[in-house]
Amino acid sequence: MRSLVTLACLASFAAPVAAFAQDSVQNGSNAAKASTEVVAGLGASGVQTLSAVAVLPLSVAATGSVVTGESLVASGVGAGQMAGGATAFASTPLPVTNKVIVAQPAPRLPHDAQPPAAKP
Amino acid sequence: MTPHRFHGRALALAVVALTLIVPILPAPVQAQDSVSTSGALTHFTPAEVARFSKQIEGDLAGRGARVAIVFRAGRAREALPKGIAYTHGAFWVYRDVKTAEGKVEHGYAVYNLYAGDGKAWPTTVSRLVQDFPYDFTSGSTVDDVAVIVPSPEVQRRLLAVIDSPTYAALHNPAYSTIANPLSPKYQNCNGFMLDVIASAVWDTTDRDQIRADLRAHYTPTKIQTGPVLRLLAPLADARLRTDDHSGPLRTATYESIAAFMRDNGLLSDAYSLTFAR
Repeated sequence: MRSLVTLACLASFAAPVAAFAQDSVQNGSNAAKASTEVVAGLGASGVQTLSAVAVLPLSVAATGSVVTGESLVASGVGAGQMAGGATAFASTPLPVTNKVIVAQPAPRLPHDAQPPAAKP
Repeated sequence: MTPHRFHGRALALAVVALTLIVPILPAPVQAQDSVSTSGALTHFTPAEVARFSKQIEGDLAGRGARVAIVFRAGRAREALPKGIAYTHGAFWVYRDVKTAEGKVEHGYAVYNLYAGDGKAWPTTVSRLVQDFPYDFTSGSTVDDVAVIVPSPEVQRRLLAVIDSPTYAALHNPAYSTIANPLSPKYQNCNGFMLDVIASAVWDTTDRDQIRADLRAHYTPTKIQTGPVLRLLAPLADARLRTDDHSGPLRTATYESIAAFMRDNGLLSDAYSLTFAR
């Protein structure tokens, strides 16, 4: 009886773990593999993809709001996006690329410092 | 029956009861799943994820949304608590994206709070991760997402916070799937977004002030669960931490964030968007 109870108890605690495994976040190597597979898979489906190098807040004038404790909203933040007037901000349609943006694979760099690449 | 035997049987009965109850605990209690699902396709094919993510982007861009709040259901609807339809939310921010080819494309970047998987980092710890609409949409288990488009002024303020150190400063890495948004102890994805929204609309970086403002003006979603489930939930999953709750279990959801923003004139629209198959 005692063995049965112990076994049942262990099983009950193991069950939720197994159930949640499918929701798990992926580690870096899996993510890199997934990214590569995504690009390959989408390419085979005729979907255009591009790898993002950086996300640029180019059109956001957030320069006046970098110190915690200062007013964030009174410093003209967002003014750079108001070229068309404040009333048009976030109200007029925006262009968006038709390509699917995916992250680049995880970086794979040598451990030791490498000499700079020769300029062409 | 001797006292010794009686206690033995009582213990055995208690363990058997636990055995039966614990495995079914997570389903009715889990209200969030702030996990990265990049590449983990279950509901959609890769091509469908691409189409759906582009559909969402097109919808947001068509509305001129610089910042939107998008929610997905990362669990089957029947496994979610009553009144909760979505489990993970993130800010979608219209950005210029520099590509590997050196070009600049226009699209949305997604700003998430993700919990660990227990391998790369612990399940009870979260990180702020920026990825893209494809990554976000791949984690959906249903054909729809929910969208909140804040008012233009709130979008402007959200951009200010997201692009400032305040954004990271508002993050509490101590993660609970059912974090009480009115307590500072734990945070989940929606609770973090709520703090960012509060920081933006009340123009404050003070976390205590944010908590006071939210207590006065925001009503979190109650998670309907009985006392036994509540007591045993942390045994079933370490992320189901309940010691930040004093009354009923309450957490931030699409439903309660949308209600707060609607009631206070902070949004342009809130709606669900269904995949056009």
